[in-house]
Amino acid sequence: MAESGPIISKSQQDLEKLLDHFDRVYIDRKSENSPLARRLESLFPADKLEWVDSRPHPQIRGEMSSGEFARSKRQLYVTEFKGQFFKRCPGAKPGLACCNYFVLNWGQQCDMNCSYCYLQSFLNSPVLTLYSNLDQALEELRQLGKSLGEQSLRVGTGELVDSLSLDPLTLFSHELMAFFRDTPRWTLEFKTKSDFVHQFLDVPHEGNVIVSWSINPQAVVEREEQGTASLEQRLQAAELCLSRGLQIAFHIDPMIWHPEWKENYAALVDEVAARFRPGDLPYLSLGALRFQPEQKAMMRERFGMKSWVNQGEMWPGKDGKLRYPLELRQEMFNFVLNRFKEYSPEWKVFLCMESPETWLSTYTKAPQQVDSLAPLFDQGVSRQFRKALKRSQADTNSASG
Amino acid sequence: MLKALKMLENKKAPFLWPEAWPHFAWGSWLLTAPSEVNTGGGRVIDLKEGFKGPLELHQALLSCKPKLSLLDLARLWQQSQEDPSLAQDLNWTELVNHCGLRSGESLTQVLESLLKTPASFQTWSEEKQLAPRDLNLLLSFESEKDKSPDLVKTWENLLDKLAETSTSKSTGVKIMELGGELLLMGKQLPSWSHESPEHFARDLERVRFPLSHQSLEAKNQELKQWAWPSRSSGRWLRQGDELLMEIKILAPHGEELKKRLDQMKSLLEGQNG
Ligand code: SF4
Repeated sequence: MAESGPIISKSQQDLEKLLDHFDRVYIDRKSENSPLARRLESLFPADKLEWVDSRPHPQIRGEMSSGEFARSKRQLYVTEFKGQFFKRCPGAKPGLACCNYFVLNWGQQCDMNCSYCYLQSFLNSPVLTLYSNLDQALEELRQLGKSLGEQSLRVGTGELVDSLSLDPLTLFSHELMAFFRDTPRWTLEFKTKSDFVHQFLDVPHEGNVIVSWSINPQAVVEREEQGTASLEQRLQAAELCLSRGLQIAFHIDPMIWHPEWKENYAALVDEVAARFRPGDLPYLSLGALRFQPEQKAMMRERFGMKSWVNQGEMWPGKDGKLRYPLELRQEMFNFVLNRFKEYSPEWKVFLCMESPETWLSTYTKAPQQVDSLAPLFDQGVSRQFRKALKRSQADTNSASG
Repeated sequence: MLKALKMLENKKAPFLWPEAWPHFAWGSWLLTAPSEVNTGGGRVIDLKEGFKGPLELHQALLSCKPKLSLLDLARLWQQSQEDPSLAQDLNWTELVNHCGLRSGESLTQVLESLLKTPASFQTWSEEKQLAPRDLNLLLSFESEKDKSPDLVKTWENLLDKLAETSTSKSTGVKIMELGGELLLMGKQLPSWSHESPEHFARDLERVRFPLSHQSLEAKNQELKQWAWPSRSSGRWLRQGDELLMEIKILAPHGEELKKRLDQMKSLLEGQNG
């Protein structure tokens, strides 16, 4: 009880920050009766709201200028999503080792502003879009659940939109947590760089919700992750979630080379190891900076060449993305991995979005062979899932045909 | 009174129209000559009605010059911004789509910044058929114009030098990328006096990617210490984000090659073990 005062005031602060952030909110008339539209209508002042019949700024199509991209972060558009909500993790491609992870997108674009953000090469819509028909996404999941039987699965939510940075507005976390209460063998993961957790701390759950943070040394946060929560705020939010029985995880990703990288990443590991025990986290992932060559120009224009990301020595990898030289990545991964192992061999650290070669040079074993990580890489489950997805699509097609 | 399209003015390789041919216009816009004086004795055919039916201005323009360069587009864009009657007559989106581009702020910003580069570079960019993505770096220098005029001057000198040395497109774009980034990072560029553009591009790469260069150098130094079988050698090369070893073995016949391969195998095993 003693906690409820400060918690309410923090969630109110989070909400107000978001109400202030958006210059304009467009709501598609077709979404008028959705819970999301009704909630936004009640929250935003009338002069920020506009009801529309189609996407605003129709003249902006395709590649956006850096100014248009920046403006899109401050304009919210609520509409229905027409298509498949549920996608496989983009890392799961031939040649890349990746965790068994599936993604649910409920919108696109992010209100925060990281220099390396891959949305810069991906988005072509001049508004931050949120989908009003989350109920349909959950129905899709329900159908998939039926085909999967007893299989377990991890569902992530932070691919094209941060999982929690807009949650005080949408409260999607409430609906999802309620859904996952009925499917305890499935795991729901929120992935964020915000510290907006207070709005769901009191929502009951079955212990199958992971809240994960992408973390970086504070020096990197300040220079490269504008508008995100500080490292300290992220760690505090993680402690709070842990205290409420939620699972937590950290992604030290993307690691960014800079002249003091060793001191700063050592301090980061020390901080995590001082505040958490290996048993507190089901896993910890590492990844190094990578991005599509197409986004380089926009990154340069938006963040300048003083950015450590833009200064990086990037070379094309086998998947076409620009990456640090392999030998540098290995050095960075080994450094962090060894620092964790110095604290305890029980830290479960894995590499995300890396080639089997990098895995082997870091672990001398493939991901599935590393005892502590094997459950995260159950290829059988991945295959089953893909089959189930195909079956469900075929069913839908034959039903509609 | 016919108005000329400015895209035809001041070009090293102008939009040549045979003297003996009549000129074409669209409404009041003269399409095939840079000014009234060159209209082939005053005989001008209006394409607005077309030969097979009415044409829009962009269609008439493209039928006279089917392949417009970025510089052409830049000049047309500028003129349409200055002259509302052109903006009204010209379907800019359609014109740009015909050129395989998408109209939008990102394109017009590149076009506007192209017109602010040295004239020599504009011509080079046209000759080499640069695409908007090749010119993106120009936008980063736009914001430096007021803050650091000296930096922008150095950048413009670099662009001028590219044109002057008739650098190929791929090397030129590489020099722009590496040199531009180094300038924006506040670094000194290596000197480019007599070196070939390719040589200069390699120098730039060394300065822009010092860590990658150092690790390659260190690996190659290590290789030099190896006891190589006779007439064989090796070196590390960077291929994308990886360092790969290239080994060269010369042998007069198969027997000898086999012997050297065995020696090489033991050498490599010794190094790895
Ligand atoms: S938090 Fe994620 S989605 Fe948002 S700007 Fe940063 S990288 Fe992009």
